[in-house]
This record gives sequence, structure tokens and C-alpha cells, in this order.
Amino acid sequence: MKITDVTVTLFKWTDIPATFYSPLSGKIGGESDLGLVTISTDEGIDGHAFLGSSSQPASLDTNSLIKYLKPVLVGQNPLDRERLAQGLGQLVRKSGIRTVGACDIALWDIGGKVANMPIHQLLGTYRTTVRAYASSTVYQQPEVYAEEAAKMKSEGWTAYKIHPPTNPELDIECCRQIREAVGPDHTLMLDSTWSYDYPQAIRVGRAIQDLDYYWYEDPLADDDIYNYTKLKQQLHIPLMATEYSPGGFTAYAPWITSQATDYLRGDVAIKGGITAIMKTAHLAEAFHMNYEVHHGGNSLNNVANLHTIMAMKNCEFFEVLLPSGAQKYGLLEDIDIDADGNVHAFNKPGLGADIDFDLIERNKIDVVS
Amino acid sequence: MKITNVRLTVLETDQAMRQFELITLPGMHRERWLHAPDSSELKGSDSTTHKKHEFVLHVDTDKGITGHCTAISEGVASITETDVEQLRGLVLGENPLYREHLYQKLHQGTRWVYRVPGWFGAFDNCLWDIAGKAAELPVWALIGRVRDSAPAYLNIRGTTIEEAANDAQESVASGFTAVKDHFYHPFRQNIEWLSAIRDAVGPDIELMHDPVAVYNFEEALTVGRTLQDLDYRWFEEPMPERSQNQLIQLAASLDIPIMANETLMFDVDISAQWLISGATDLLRFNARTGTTAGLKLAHMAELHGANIEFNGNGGLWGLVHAHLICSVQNTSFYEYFPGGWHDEVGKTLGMMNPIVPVNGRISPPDAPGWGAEWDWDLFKKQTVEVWE
Repeated sequence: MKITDVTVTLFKWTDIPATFYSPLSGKIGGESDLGLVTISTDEGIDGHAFLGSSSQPASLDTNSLIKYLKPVLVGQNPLDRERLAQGLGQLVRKSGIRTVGACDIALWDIGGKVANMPIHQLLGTYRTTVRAYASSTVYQQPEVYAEEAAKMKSEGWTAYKIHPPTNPELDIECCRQIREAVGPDHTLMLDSTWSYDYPQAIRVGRAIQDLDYYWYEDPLADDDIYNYTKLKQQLHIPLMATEYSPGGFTAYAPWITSQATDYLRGDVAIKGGITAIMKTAHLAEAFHMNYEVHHGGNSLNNVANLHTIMAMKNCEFFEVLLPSGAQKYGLLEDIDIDADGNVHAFNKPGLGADIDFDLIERNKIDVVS
Repeated sequence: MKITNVRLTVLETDQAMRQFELITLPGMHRERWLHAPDSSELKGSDSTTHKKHEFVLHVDTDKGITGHCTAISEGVASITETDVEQLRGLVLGENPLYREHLYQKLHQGTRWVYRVPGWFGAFDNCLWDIAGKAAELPVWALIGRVRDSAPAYLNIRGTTIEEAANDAQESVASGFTAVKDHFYHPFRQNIEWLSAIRDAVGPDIELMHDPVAVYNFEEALTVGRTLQDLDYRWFEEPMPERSQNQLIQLAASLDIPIMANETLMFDVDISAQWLISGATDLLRFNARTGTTAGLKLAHMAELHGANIEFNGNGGLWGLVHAHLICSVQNTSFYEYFPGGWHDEVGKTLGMMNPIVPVNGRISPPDAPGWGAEWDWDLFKKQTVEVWE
């Protein structure tokens, strides 16, 4: 079996609602574009992935994928995933991590289709259901979070994570009001999006552990391994770092040996695909730590994430970033929670998601090859 | 898909069971008991001695697919009929494609059914065989291959220094680019033998030394420095592996990579702790404790920039390790024991395509699952007992 072509079909994404997640990701809304990555083979099986997100148009990455990564793939056996992952991984500094992730996902899609198995089964299934949590956008008023959290709880969600305004005193007030609104038994997490210095992180951390928050995510700068280590010694709430830790997934080890975090974290888009996530999950498992999978930034990445979660024990949740209008696009049927707040595995071969090819055709900007 | 039965076949080889004599080694700083060098050789066929048994596990499914893998060989460790009964009780009715679920259940449950770590490894390997057959893909394609073939190293033998050097030379002449010894003579004598092997093969051949933990710290340090001067590739099991503090000291004192976890390799978590403590540079693994665990170990090691090196044939007379070595990035060699005990003996029991290096290299077959070719008539002929 051989790879014959790699193309990226760019398609427009319009009417994205105005959204804000953190000072680092900036304002989102209006228009973006996604890229349907297609790896074709001589046996007529195509592998797919989506490149881009509502905040990161695929058009910024497409040319580098075609220029740097396509030559690694064409002519090769798509089932030699580990060899290709090594080849793609060496080009991260040229092509960027998102393009590497997209190619790796498309290769797993091919592997699953050849095996006639969903990817989670190719990996070895652990489960077919997992708990989901809703992950908020940023609001400036505590009561808005509180209302949203209570409303989602009434809709069946069992966990809610907030992206706060990143003003420590206001953030604490938001956390307090949310806890009051949902009661003592609802699972709550805080993701402070790398916004505090050490004293602020201590202050907020102590407040939310008293409020019985479940985890405390990214309070400090993404590379501040020194202060994370100090912070972890001061707090008993589990600390979560490494979503954007420097050096990518091959540089997780010092976070473990320095005891700088209680979890490892990442997703298929920002760590280099399914191969990277599974290796990291196994690394975390060897140290009895969880690997909590981050949302994937687009619908098909989220499906890929979901497959990895279904094949690992040490991940507790699937993250659903709000609002849908800024995260879900391009599939006929997206991932939805059930009445109990859980999401379910996709069980058709490969990624097993029905891509909305008509929508892609209607909104097509260009096919890059 | 559902698991409908777990069966085990006991096969009789035409070889006598190994019997060892234990002796103490002269000229060492501490008393060291080990088996006498010539008793490590298999004694010839003798009708009065017990013939060596091999065990093959079978996992049946309701879809007509059966997964097969060798279980632990007699004499290396044992598997009992009650182990198989216990396993059957735990997995009957489970979906064999839920490998991670079954791994977690059996791994975490090991303590609660009072078994030894990795006791369900052959069962895990049968699940990989089933998955490959269900997908109509070789196991290397399920995992995602990294290379088509890999070099093997040959374990040289010899009762004299000349025989050992000669064996090394002949191995190189037959295509091997790497050879390993198991020298466990008094340590000063070992140093002479190690130099003789380097002299015999020249500077371009990879050499590894495995004294099977006979040294104490000072001896290991002295031998290790010699190995560095002789440009050996790795120093395997230099000291008893529980001496973690001394191994940390040894690894810090030597440049040559130490591979120290052979008797702990059944446990991914312990191996991880050994690695980060600096007590070992390379990790050992044998897939008889299961492919799923091996991949976890490989991934953990890769993200620490460390290699895992596979020990022995791993199951199905080499097939299991051939697939894994061609699918794991951070590994370098297949370990080959000449003489047929680890591979060609399979043919006498009905597995017709054991892994035997050709020109010093091995590669896995492309047929579904592990790709074993069975002669079931021969298999049946050699069967002495079935636990089902």
C-alpha cells in the first residue's frame, strides 16, 4: 500500500460568534477557514483530518504542510505510522505542530479503514463512554458564569470548567459564585490560562481548593517549571500544566521528575497527533498520573481525541469548549453529550465521523496540493 | 466479538529438560553462586530424563477467530492449569478487541488473584493475534511499523577463550554485525576474554557484555572501564538488580550504557522509577509479559530519550519480538540464541516459520496477526495434554 497524494481543501467558516478564551488566544469571531487534509492511497482508501480552528485559520498552515510534510508521505506505506511519525516529527520546527498532528491523524484514519475498525479499537479499546465537561468562554461578570453553570447542570452536564477574566480577585469571586450556584457536589475546574505570577497563583489556588474545585489548570506561564514546582508544594488541589509546555510531547519528562504537575495534558492538534497522545498517556501511566486530553480546536480533532480517550484508562474527561458555534463545524453529526453528561465512542472504521463534504464543497476556497 | 474459551496445549519437545549444577566462582570479592558453565548447555536427548514441555495458549472467539501464543517455557517459569482456569473465569464473554480494558483489569487485578506480575502476558499476545486476524493485518501494521527489518545480535558460546573468539568470528562471517557474550568467569579472566573477542572481530562489530549479575560494585567498575576502552555497546546486568544505589553510582561512573532491569522488566512502573533514578540507561523487556505492557514501556522510555532492548524471542519462537522490534522506534536489536532452542524447535511442534536471522537480520511476516504458520497435525502429534 502506498500514499499517492496529499491535498488540503480550504473551506470558509463564517458566522463564528464573538468569543474570548484568554488574553493569549485573543478575540475570536466572524470568519476563519479550515482545511480538509486528504491523504490518498493506491488502494482507494483516503485518510482525513481537519487543519485549523476558529482562532487559527488553516490557510496559515496549509502551504507548510504541503511544502514540508507532503514529501515525507508520498510514496510511503501509510501503515508504517511509527516511521512516518518520526519523519514528520523532525519537521516540526519548519512546518509547525498542527500540520504534523493533522497528517498523523489522517494516517490513523487510513489504518482504521484498512483494518475495518474504529481507531479506538485499533489501539485497543478501554471503554466506549466517558464523562464530559463544559469549558466556558471568558465573561467579566461572576453571575454570568454562575447562571451558565447552573443551566448546564440542569441540562445534564456533570462538570464545568471556567476560563476566568484573569484578574485574581475577580476570578476568586467568579469561582465562589459558581460554587454557590451549582451546589457542593458538582465538579468544577479553573483554567487560569497562564495568567498569574507566583503570589497570585497561590492566592487563587488557596481560595479554590477551599471551594473544593477539582483541578487548577495553567495558573503560571507555560514554561515556568520552577514556580510550578514551588506552587505544587504549597497547594493540595491537583495542579495541571503542560498543555503548551515548551519542547512538545518529547519534553514532558522533566515535568514529571521535577514534580511540577499532577497531570500531563495535550491534544492531537498541539502535540502531534494520535501517536503523540498515546505515547504520552503511557508515559503518564507509568508514573500513575492521568493524561487529561485537551479539546482539539476543531470537530475532527475532537473525534480523534475521543478515540484516544476510549483507548486509555488514565483520562477522566472529554473537554467540550463553548460555544458550539466557535468549535463545531464540518461534520454531519458532531460529538454530543447524552442525558447523563457523557459522550460516546465513534464506532465506524477509522475516525468514523461523517464529514460534511457538501458543506466543504459549497464553501471551498482552494485545493492546495 | 466475544471470548468463548481460553485453552492451553502442553507439547512435548524432543529435548531433555535442563538441569543445572550450581557452583561458586573463585577469584571474586564476594561469594557468588551460579550455574556451572557447561551445565548451561542442554544435555542431550535421554529417554530416562523428563522431556522439556512447551505451552501454547489459545483464545477462542464467537467469530471463529482464535488467537495463539506460546506461554512461558517450562523451566523459565511455570503456568499451571489453575492459572488457565482463573484466567478463563475472568475473561469469558469479554470482547477480545477491548485490549486496554482487559489489560487494566488483569494488571490491576493481579494482586487480587494472587498471581505474579505479567502472568497474563500470553493471553494479551493472543488478543493481538485476534485483532490482527480480525483486521486482516499483521501486528506490525496494527501498531504502525517503523522499519521493515532489524539487525540481530548473536549470543556467542565457548568453553575456552579460543572457542569463544572463534564463535564470534564465525558469527560475523555469517552476516551478524553484533554479538553478545554471557561470560561469567572470575572477573579478571572475563576481562581477558572480552579483549579477545574485540581482537577477534575487529573495531566495526557491535559487542555487548552480559555477566548475568556476577560482579560486585568494584568488579563491575573495573570491567566497565575495560568495556569502554574496548568500545562495547552496552553492559548488561552488571550486578544484582536490587542494588539500586550502587547501580546509580555505577551508571554515573561509566560512560558505557548500563542495562540493569532484566529481573524487574515485567513491571513498567518499577522500570520507570529505575530509569529516572539513573540506575539504568537502557530498559530490558520480554513480551512474555504482554505486548500491551511492552508498548507502554517503550513509549515511557522514548519520552525519556532511552532505548528498550528486547530480551530473547518474546514468544512464538521469535515472531512476537520480530513484530515489536520493527514497530518500536527506540530499540536496536533482536536477540538471537543459536542452536535452535529459541526458534527452530518451534518447527518440531508445528509452528513452521520461527524467526531465524538471515544475514544477521530479522523481519516479521506479513500474514494477519503474528503470522504464525501452523502444521496442526504435527502440533496434535506433539500434544501431551490440553487444559480446556
